[in-house]
Amino acid sequence: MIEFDRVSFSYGDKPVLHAFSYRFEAGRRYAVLGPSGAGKTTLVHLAAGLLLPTSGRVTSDERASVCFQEDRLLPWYTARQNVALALSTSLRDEAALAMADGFLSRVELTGDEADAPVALSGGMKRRVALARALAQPSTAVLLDEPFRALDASTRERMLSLVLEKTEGKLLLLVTHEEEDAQGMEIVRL
Amino acid sequence: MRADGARARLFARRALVILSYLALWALAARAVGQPLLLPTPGAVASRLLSLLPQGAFWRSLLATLLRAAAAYALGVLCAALLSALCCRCALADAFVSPLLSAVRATPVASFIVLALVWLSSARVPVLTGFLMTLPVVFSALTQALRAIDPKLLTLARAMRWGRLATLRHIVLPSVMPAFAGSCLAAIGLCWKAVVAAEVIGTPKLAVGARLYEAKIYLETDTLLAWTLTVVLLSVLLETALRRLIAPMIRPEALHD
Repeated sequence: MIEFDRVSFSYGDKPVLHAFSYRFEAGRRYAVLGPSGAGKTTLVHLAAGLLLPTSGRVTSDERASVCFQEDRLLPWYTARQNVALALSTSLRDEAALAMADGFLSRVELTGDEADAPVALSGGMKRRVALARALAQPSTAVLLDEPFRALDASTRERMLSLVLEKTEGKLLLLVTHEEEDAQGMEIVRL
Repeated sequence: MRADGARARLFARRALVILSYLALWALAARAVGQPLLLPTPGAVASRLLSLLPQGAFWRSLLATLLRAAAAYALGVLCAALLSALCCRCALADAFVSPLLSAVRATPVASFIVLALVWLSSARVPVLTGFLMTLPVVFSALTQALRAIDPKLLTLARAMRWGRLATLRHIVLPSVMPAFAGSCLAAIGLCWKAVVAAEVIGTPKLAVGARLYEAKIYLETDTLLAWTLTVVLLSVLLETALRRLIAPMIRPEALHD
């Protein structure tokens, strides 16, 4: 469960969230919709404990993994190593590397495991970031526009993968597409 | 095959450049006609060959190398520690940064002369080399530490990495290119400063002292032979360090 209790947040004197209250229940799926600048990304950061509210309180008993709005891949590592680091901080952990390959195959990047992010396209980098978030052991998965830069059919397959891999977990999906939100509780900002 | 060919062409081009300069030097020496002012490359090479079997040559070289190594190691270590401190503590930065900027701007000869008042002539080169190394590495490392992408540091928090993992996977790979570049730049500066301090301080066993003696006794061929030795050693040190550092720039080398 992640609970927002009258949470406000400002970047300097620019308010982003104002007295937002909501309870995200464990094991359920939520789609966060809203126009640009409405505070969707801020909501994800607050839910993950990466930001502290200006006022109000965020309570969480979840271990969250995050797919950020930007890919945030480590440019000095390969796609495989980027994903493996979600599983183990040692890059010599063969089990983690093998699992990373498995996740990369699920995001349709078989054959690209040894590529550095610079050699990957925007859509491929997005999928590595998604694979990393799905690989990280967690009870809640927070995805901030994970399908950006993906074509329609890849987007559909990635959404199916997300639904499969987050079964039983709290899923918070930030998206601009209403169709991604099917079967999810919708939170509008 | 193609790489071998490119390497051979590069080697041939370098050899051609060196030979051209030697020919120019030989022509100039011939035009001047006075070995006291400008000896020929052959005379200098012959003097260098005559120095090689002498124990004093190697003892002086070793003593200077040890001083340079001590100065450099201390400089790099202190720069790393001070950079880390200044990036975490604004007060420390307020004290340290202006001081090191002043050190960087001060002529090396001023340090040498001043240090000779306080220290023995054998220690002055170490202090001088240290003071040349410290600000160069400090400045590059501090800038690199401050330029670490904050979004990657947030990623580390989201991945629940501890300090050690963040250091290994984000901080070190982020700063290593700038750190390695500054270390390479500093080694040449340090080496030259150590030799310069030896020339002024003339400790007993030192390349700089031999350079000074050669100048006093107007042995220009000896002076150039020692200078050639200093230059060759500088190139060797830089090449060795470049090879040592290269794998460290690849982050895989930082693990386990």
